[in-house]
Amino acid sequence: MMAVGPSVPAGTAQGRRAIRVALVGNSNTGKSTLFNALTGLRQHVANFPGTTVERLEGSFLSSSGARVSVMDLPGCMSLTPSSPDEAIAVAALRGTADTEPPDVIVVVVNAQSPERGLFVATQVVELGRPLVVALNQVDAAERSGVRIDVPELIHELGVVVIPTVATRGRGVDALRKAIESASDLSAPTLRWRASAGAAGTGEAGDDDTAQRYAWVHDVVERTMTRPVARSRWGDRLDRVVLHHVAGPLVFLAIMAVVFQAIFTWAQPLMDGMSVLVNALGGLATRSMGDGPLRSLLADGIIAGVGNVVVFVPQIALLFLFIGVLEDSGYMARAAFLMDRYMRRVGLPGKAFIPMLSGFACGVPAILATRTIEDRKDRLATIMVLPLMSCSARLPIYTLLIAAAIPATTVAGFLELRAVTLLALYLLGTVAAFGVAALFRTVLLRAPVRPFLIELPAYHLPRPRALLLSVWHRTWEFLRRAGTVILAFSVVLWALASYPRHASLQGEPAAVSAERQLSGSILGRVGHALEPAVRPLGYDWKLAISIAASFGARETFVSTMATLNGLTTDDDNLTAGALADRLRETRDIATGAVILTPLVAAGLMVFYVFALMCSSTVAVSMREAGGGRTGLGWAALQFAYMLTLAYGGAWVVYRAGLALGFS
Amino acid sequence: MSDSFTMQLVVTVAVVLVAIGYLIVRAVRAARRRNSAACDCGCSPAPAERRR
Repeated sequence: MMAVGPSVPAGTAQGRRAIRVALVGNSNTGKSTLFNALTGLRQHVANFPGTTVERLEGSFLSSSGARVSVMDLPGCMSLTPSSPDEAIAVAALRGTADTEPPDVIVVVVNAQSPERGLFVATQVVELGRPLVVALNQVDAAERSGVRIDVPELIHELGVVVIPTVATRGRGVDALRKAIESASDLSAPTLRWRASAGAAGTGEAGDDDTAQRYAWVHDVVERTMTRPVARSRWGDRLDRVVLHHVAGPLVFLAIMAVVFQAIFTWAQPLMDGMSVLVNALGGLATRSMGDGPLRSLLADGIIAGVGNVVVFVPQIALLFLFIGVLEDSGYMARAAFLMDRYMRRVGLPGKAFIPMLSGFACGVPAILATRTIEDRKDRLATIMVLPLMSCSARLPIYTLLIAAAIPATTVAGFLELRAVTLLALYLLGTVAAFGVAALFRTVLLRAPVRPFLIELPAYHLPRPRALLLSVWHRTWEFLRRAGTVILAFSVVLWALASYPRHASLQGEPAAVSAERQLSGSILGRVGHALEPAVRPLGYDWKLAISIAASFGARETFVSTMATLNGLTTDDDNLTAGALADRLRETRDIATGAVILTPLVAAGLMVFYVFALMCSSTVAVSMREAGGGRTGLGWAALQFAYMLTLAYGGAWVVYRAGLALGFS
Repeated sequence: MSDSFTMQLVVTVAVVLVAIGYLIVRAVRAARRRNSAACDCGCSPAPAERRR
């Protein structure tokens, strides 16, 4: 394959003026991978349509020293936008009041099925900007038997065509040179206009669309040969994973394996990290004299941050599994499979991928709803998305499960704790479906649009991209533990330690510590909040932990660790030890166990439903329309989820008591 | 009160004040960043140089 075009004179860079380039094309053609290859950045990539929903920018230095600024745009099917993400792409290409249109446009086309990409090229050329076509994934095309005559394609199109394999960096240098050279040229005349004789408007009317596709089809017929059958093993696999009975079973089996693995595979690593945290706590205690700083280090910082950090292996495993699902091509199949169930509750099939992404984090998941065309469909999805259990809930679930659920197996091989974790994720998902159905019948009535999705080819996840993605997401979790959680733990320790109270003569240490905590600022706040949570079976310490977690969920764990660290003189506050401690903590006055299995079950339900993330509230507000409209939807979202959380925890606790549980 | 205890108290007060300051600055920045899509919840979806 050649990597040159007829209209690119060499050495015509524009001195050192910055060149602005836009990458555009259909969804899932590898634009973000190409963007990463060109700029050296690590924008998130995945093997399903709609990964990029924003305009992202990076840059590289050309061989002549000019800075080339590259924009990665959301995928689009045409220059007539039908969804918010497509509107972002089209606005960037046409230019806006505060942004010039790009100097060069690179249309990224999937080499295996280039028709729709070339259709976009026929519209882009009419914007009057220099154009380069990047024919991406040529390796996959070659493997599937597709033969492309690149010189002939260049001749037919009349623009530069560069074959690329963005994942391996093939053709990227040639593309950089082509971009640099193209910026010197005037806009090309795509042969489509000459041969079809149409006065293109860039707007896709029916006739216009048909003419363009007819021309593109002719070009493809003349320049490409394709085998009749598609990849056989992929088809065979699809017959199973898309089957109306086997498909959902496969999906459930995958989910069961994921949660079993999260619980069992991560355990040795978590134990290792617990030992490390434990050793640090011991070191702090042994090497310092008695005083406030020692207590701050051991009970506040190491107990608070350490008990969040030990969950990193679980979080990394969750991200690894989500990455494998994204990169393998299964995610798009699962979306197709789930469409029939989602349609029944009024959610569009396109909502599935954002919802599954919500298992990692609600914020990018809400941004991902930009691929949904209809506003009511999109709003319904945004409103229920935070019910999907995000990674910040995982430490809370794990801690409460370890404290309340016995380590036994069911059906001989499934761990009861893993099954409980899966049940919590399912509870959130089922609740999301139920609430969506309610919204669609009350506030957001409209027929659901048919769901069309291009199923990407299966491929083995690329280890490098996968590990980078896991590392990046895990690092962000650690960074947060080292900043917000750290600062929060310090402040919480101070509020729980002051004002100081003198110990009474002969008073046991545990009673004295409890009295100190009870009389502290935090203790007083807890006592003030206690009546609100008493009906759920919670005491004032749980009230503090819940109140503290309204800003960010995972502070529940660090708060519980700090409160327990302050009221005991044992420094071995590891995740397992914290769970054991919580199980045994008794009310000083009554002697009753505080975190009974029933209370823990209610708490788990509370955290499945409660919206305790200020970032999610802010993003919901903006994506629901901003201003008063957005504020209204975000307030409704927060209120209904809090009601559901409180009501759910109350029902579990009261029903449990009525049934004789404790 | 021993010198060691006093030193611990001074450092503790300083650490607590820094932590409070950090949380306040962070909250103010988050409130101002109304138009940013940057994630503040620990997942940071994209480390690109700029985003709109």
